Amino acid sequence: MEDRELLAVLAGMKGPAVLATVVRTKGSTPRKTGAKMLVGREGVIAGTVGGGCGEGEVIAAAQGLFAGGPPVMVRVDLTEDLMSWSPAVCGGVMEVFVEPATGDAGFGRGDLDSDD
Amino acid sequence: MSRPKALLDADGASFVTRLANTLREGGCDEVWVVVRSASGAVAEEVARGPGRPLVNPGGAGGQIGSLRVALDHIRQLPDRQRPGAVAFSPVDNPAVASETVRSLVDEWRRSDALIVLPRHGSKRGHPVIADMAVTPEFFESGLRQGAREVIRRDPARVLEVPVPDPAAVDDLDTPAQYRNRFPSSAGDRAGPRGQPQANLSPAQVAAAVLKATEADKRIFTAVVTQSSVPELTGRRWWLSGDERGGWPGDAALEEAVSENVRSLFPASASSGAKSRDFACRSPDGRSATATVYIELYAPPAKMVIVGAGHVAIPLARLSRMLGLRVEVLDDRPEFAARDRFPGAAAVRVIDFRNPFADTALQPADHVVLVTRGHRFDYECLVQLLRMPDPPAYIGMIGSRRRVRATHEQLAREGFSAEAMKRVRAPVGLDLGGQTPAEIAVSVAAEIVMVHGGGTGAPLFEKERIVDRFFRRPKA
Repeated sequence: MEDRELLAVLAGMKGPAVLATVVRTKGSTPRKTGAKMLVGREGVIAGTVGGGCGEGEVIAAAQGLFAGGPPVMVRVDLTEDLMSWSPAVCGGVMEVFVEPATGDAGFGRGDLDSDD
Repeated sequence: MSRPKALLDADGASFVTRLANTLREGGCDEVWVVVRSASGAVAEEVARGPGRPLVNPGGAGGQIGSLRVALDHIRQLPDRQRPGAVAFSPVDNPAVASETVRSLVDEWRRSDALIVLPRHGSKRGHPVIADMAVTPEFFESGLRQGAREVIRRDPARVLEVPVPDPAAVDDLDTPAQYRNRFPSSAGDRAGPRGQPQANLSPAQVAAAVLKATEADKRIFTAVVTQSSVPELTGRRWWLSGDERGGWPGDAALEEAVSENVRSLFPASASSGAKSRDFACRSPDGRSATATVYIELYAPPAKMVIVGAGHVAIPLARLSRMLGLRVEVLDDRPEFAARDRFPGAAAVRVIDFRNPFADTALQPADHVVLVTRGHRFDYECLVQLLRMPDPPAYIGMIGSRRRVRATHEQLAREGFSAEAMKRVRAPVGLDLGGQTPAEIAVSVAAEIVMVHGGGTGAPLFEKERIVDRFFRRPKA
């Protein structure tokens, strides 16, 4: 339900930003299908997809989009060894879709790296 | 944007192919394209065009790194293949005209300038022609500004050629610039009437969602998260009643989703999110599939509190925390006052003879009766139980005596036991609380329980983790 606050932030977003959405879950996950996170170049702007290492992977994937990459699906596997003491001992799997949030999510870093 | 800049459409050919063709037509005898990887979409596209690929793995060193890879290849060519000059360009200005290139090449032949480049307005552009005599300078270490530094160090050897071609100074770095230069390409996929349609961004869809829910309308949003047709990935659109925005990029997919979307969620749901696979078509007409993630947004469900007394205040706050729209009703103006309920969507003075006259109620809404006397609860219950589509959650506060007295009146009025059981009376979970805040918490907790499907029991008693997984220590 706090989704709506994130929607308001998203609707007003200008400049490069990346949206991560949990589109599928299986088993026990900290957030369910529909959870969203808005990421700017410097880090998270709003929302969460569950914290821990999984969220870190999603943020790293977001950085790939700022470099001009296409939307990606990140598969976060939380079925880790229980004794790892990781916050991710939930026991489930999440699929997170990571895409540009606005029309301008870093189409390339200016004129420096455009010889793809 | 969903693909590398080199592969974007530039009026019918990719950026890289178009630029390679332009350079050839403008007088370049050979075109090399420096790519990041020998495999992959960009390399394949280059192979289809007039350019020859050279690999700078990972694009190491950026533009100057790639330029060095090309120059290194060229200076090792046999004498008869080696050129007198190179024209180099990033892929950011694919619309540059071949006449522009031709005039630069002509100026290099005609003059003794070692570097020739185009100027349009106040900007210098590409391609830049560098005589082979000057190319060793690009290999110097410490070129903090890359090729630019070599170009700037001696203005006397540089010839700026004024050109009427604005595309010579393009640096297409944003979707807006791309759309400006290639309006019919930037749409990526043609719409239903053949009009190119730019994809909607999540920000645009979010704005549509807020607009629809504020107008009390349901709205579905959809995005293709995976597809065997790569151009469809990331396409976003929305549907609300008869209105729609954006386009999935494939007519078959649009139809399949429209037909099925309402059946994905229960009619009374005020929100939902699901991924489903749908059939679609690839650009060459073959059938394909797309995984579409669909969300439903409906105006948030209501919490209608009847009786603006002590319990109403904490209950209104807790309901807001749960994301419900709060409306508070009372027949006493001094109690039904806006300043007592900040954050409530509406506070109304009502007449108990027709308490819900100005309050729209749907099955997804909640009504909690906390009035000052059971005769007022009774009036409300009669109205609610006679509605054709009443709220699913109707609760009434009260002691056993008060609840019984109210139900006896309902029975006398002709309501059956089944009808009476639709009312949660007394409302709330059995917490043993007494104060208005404690009562409000028990009602809010019951609402969370009903929506979440829980039992209301303490989790640690329910899971019994110690008993189930750990042996009892020996006495």
